[in-house]
Amino acid sequence: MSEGAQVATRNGEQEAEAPEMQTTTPEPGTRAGRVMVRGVRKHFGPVEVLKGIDLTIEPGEVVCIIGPSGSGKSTLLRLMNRLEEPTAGEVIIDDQVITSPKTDINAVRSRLGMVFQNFNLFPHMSVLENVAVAVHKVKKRSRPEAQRIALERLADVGLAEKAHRRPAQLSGGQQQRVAIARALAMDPELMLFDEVTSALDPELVKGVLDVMSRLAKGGMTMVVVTHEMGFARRVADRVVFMDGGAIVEQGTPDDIFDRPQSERLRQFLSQVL
Amino acid sequence: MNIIDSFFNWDQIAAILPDLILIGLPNTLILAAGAMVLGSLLGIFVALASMSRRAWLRIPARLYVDLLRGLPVILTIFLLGQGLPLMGVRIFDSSYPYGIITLGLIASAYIAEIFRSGIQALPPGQQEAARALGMSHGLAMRLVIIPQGVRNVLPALTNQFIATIKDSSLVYLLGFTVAERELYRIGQDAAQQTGNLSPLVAAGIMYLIITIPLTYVVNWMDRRFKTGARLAAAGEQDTPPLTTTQTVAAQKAEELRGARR
Repeated sequence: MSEGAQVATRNGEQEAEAPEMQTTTPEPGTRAGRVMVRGVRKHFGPVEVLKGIDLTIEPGEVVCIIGPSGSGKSTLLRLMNRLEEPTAGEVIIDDQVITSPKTDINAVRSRLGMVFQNFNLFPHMSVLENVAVAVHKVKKRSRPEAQRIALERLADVGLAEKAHRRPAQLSGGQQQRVAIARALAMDPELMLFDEVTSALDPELVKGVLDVMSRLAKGGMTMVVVTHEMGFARRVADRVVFMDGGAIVEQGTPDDIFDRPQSERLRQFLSQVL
Repeated sequence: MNIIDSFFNWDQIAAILPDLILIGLPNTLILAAGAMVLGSLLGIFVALASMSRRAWLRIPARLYVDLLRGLPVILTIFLLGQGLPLMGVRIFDSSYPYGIITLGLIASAYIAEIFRSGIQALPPGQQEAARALGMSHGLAMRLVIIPQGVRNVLPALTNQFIATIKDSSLVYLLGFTVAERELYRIGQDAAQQTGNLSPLVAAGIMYLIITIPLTYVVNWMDRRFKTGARLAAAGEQDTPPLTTTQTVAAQKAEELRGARR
């Protein structure tokens, strides 16, 4: 149980940080969504983008991953639902080794939500269909049931009245909120966010971050690759700083932003803050 | 030498026109449309196979496309149109269905390439988003990739329809009955009997009546799809609210899309 020590420190941090999260989370006993990344390396051809990553994310935890572009943050995130295959190492979600070829990856992915930088909504479907399609076709709910769930999630992100529009008729910020609703409609244990505000105009960023903050307060386990330092500081339970394919430093937002230990983090912060 | 009399002899044209319209035109359209339906169904499978990660699917698919695209149409028509019955595929008495099959097989190779480019032109994020929701590769293809790919390639498919209409003028070589003759054969028969080219000109005009409007349909689709793409891009970058004409265009495109279903 190598993660034992980490769990202990994590719990200590969490109690101090966000006590209200426990109260809003349904059935904490059965809460799932623990991610363990163990010794993960990733090569793209001759380039090693991840040089041995160990990271554990606890159920209910909000972890923000920051770092310069090319540091491997997005690759690490995409390994967590196996959109990328690791060259070495393994990713374990709720005791299931998802990097094993024997794993039914579709079943795993249906329990994980992912939101992309470029939204990736399906342009040939209405907003409602976008959100409902996987609930119906993957989770095998009836079509009316899937649409009811989709409408609820759209209401959660404030876009119920856009249900019958096409994605192209929405602003980027609205499209991204639809993408979040689409992921939430699957009732995921864990949400992965890949630079979800990077393609947005500045005035549209807040609406998306507000939705994410609410989600975090509701107790959702979240891994957020972001350039929004303000968001990381306000919402994260833990901030992970990556550079050159490795985790350089991690800790509470206060640790990372107010007491950076490494020179590389200090340098990075001086450039982005 | 009388150009008018050699090519545009009205009596000759008038004499052949009923046959062209009542026999030739329906047959040409049946041959071409039948071939397109067959070619599209087959083409999409060949396209998917040619993009497969499995070599035993990919390599035969690529070979199939290379062969059928690389051979002259007339050679393929003889080889397959006569070869299928010789090989023991004797489902039909007439050579007419074999003509449709042969044209369909030739079209399928081109259509496979059309579908492949249409699908590969989609942003990889579409497949990723579908897979991230837990869809299998096949489900993602069926629900997300193929519907968009088909829409992207409608102009190219219409072009292929035009090419197949023209190719259909060759299948008479397999030996058709009088009632099975298509436009070219009817024109050519009459031209040989009368020693005058006007019936062929009439047949040519019949082809143009079908193909020229279709080329304009292609141009129109191309334009409309490009506008659609621009609108989508504008939405993505969140440029300030669309101008009213653009919004109207978007809504119209929307209605049309709905209607097409």
